[in-house]
Parts: sequence; C-alpha cells; structure tokens
Amino acid sequence: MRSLLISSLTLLLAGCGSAYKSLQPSAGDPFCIQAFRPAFTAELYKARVEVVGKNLSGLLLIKTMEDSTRRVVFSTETGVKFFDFEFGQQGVFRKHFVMKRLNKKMVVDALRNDFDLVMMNGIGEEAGQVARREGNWYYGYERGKKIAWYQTDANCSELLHAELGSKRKKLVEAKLFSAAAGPWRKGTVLAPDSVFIQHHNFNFNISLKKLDR
Amino acid sequence: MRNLFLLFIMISGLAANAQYKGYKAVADINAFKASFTAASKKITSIKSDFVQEKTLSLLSEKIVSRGKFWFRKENLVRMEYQHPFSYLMIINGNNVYIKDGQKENKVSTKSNKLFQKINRLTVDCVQGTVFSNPDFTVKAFENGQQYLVEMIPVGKGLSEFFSRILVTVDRKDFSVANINMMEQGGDNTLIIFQQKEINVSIADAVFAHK
Repeated sequence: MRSLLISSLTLLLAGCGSAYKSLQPSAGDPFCIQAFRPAFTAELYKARVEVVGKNLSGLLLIKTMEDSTRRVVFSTETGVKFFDFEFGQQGVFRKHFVMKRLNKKMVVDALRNDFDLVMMNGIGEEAGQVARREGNWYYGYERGKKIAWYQTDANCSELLHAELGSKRKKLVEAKLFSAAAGPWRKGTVLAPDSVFIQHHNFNFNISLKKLDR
Repeated sequence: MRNLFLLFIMISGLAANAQYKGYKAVADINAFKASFTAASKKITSIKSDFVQEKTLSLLSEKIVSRGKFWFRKENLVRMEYQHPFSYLMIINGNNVYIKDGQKENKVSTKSNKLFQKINRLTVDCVQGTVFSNPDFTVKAFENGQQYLVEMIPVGKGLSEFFSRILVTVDRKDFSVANINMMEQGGDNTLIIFQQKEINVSIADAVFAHK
C-alpha cells in the first residue's frame, strides 16, 4: 500500500514537471527556422474543427494581401462566415468579423495563437533560445508570457513540429505537411498541403487540407 | 433653392436605393404574390446542377464550388457539393443530415432556432413561399425575363449573417434561377441553378440517409 502511494506520488510529481526542463541550451544556428516559413498566396483549405466533442467543418482561406498582411477567413461550405481575421506585421491582429457565438476572448485568442504559430507570424528572424533534446533542435521565440518553439531534426533540414508553450507546459502543437503528407522541409517556399493543430489544455483540434480550386 | 436641390438629390438617392439595375418595382404586388404562389404550387420537384460563388469583396477573392441539387415537395432537399470538396446536406422535414468525408452528423432543427430559420429559408426559396416567411420583409421587382424578390431579415438571428437575400425567379415557370445572400460587410454568396429539370420523378432514396 505504501509503495503504491509512493509510486502514485512519483507519477503525480513527474506529471507536474516542466515539459521544457530537459531542453539543453546549445549553440546552434538561431536563424535556422527562417528557411521553413510557409508562403501563402491565396490557398483554400477544407477545415475540420473538433471542439469539446463537437465537429465543425468548413472552408478556410488564407490570403496574403498586397500590403503583406494575411487574411484568414473561415466559412461554412454553404457560405456562412464564421470569422475573418487579419494578421499584420510585428504581430498586429485585427478582427474583421466573428460570428457572435464565437466572439469570445478565449476562442479568438486561441485561434489567433494557432494561426500565428502556423504562419510564423510575430516572431523575429533570430530565435531567442536554441536548445537540444534527444538529437533534435528547439528554437524558441518569446510571445508574451508564452514561447513558440519550432523543433527540427539534427541537421535543421526538416521541421518536425511547432508548439506554443507556457514556461512549464505544452499548450498547442502544430504540424505542417507538404504534398502527400510529406515532411515540411527546409526551403519549401509553398503553402502547406495539410496542417494539424492540437490543443493540449482543452479538447480543440483543427485539421486543414488544401483544395485544388 | 439650394435646400430644394439637396432635398431632390436625397429623394433621388432613396429612390435609386430601392431599385435594382434593369428591374422596376412590381406594380401590383398582390397579383404577383398570387401568381407566384399558384405557379409554385405546380412545382412538385426540382433537379438541378448548381454553382456557388462566395465573393470576399475586400480580399478580391471568389470561392467557387459546384454540385447537384434536388428538391421534392413538401420539404425534402438534397444539396451535394462535388467540387472542389465533397459535402452532402439532406433536409428532411425538421431533420438535417450532413456527411462530410467520413464524418456524419444529424441535427434536429427543433433544438436550434437559427438552424430552423435557415432550413425554412432554403425550402421557401425553392418552393416559392417566401412571402409568408415572417423572418423577412419581402419586395418584388421585375423585368421582361425575371422577377427579383428582395428579402430583408427582420429579426436578430439571420441579420447577423445576411443584410438581404435576393432571389431571382424565371418568369416562364416561376422557378428559382439564383439566390444571392448579401452580408453586412459587402461579401455575398451567389448560388446559380443550372440545367434545371422541373417536376421530374425523384426517388425516395435521394433523400434517404442512414
């Protein structure tokens, strides 16, 4: 009984440990991530959203405007708009439209963070932190009280995933894929073919698949 | 004199806003309603292709999708998007069935007032019963070939999504040629019905789902 209690406490304490404690600060190339920036022109995605057990689907357009701002518009297949966001330079964000039911700070902030993470918005060229773990590199960019981490393989040739974390916890994880679910390689000057976003603090997942228009 | 001129400009502007290019207001609205309702009663089914164009005006962007449409009285609708994505929606009375890829979803409009209104709007548009829909104020315009029915939402629910809905009706058979759903910000969704077949036999299986 006593050993069961100790092992339970050990597991509990391990669970409370920081997700980033085991990262080893290292002297890597702080500019590595620049070669992975996706290039959106006017891509249309079929979007599936799972939120607290309910499923939503629709069309998501990501368009880069002439002034370099990006617009992200999500509507139902039948044309009813859910939201229209603008992402500008240096992390500028503007809501052009949000359906009343979705227009809650928590929802809008979560969506903003997700798209910032995927589009690599609002991060400088140079990573503020460079670290290693199990042969992979982690490049960290401060985003307010959070950090956007981009993880690559040992050669900085493949982006394994992006994640947004607090000091201790992984909050959101995003994966980008090129055509035929291929890895997101260095120098891919295209928009991703598919994107998966998973929230770790609540049940909210987004998957995007590019459509041939 | 100047005030009179300004008043004239304002009145002209108001008159212009109430009209649509190439159309004039239907002179005898009651006669039109009666003809529209009588002709619509004769439509028991519609089979059609459709093209949907969502225009995002500020983005200079048009999202085009295509598919097949079936309607059978009283309230059976099947809308099947086929390009550039697959998406199926079947309205069967108060129930809406949606198939999106492998995901299937059934919704009862009884539990959702907004869904109920959208459901009724869809059926009203194709069935020609728009004038009796209490969620809209309705006006009608005409030219030699078509009628244009303007529907302005009166309640809070639908006006969040649409500033007005324009339904274009062919004069020859009173069937719907297109539905244009206009939004507050200037965007719109236009659904154009093509290759229409009126009063053809449509099997029950078309509206069936698991």
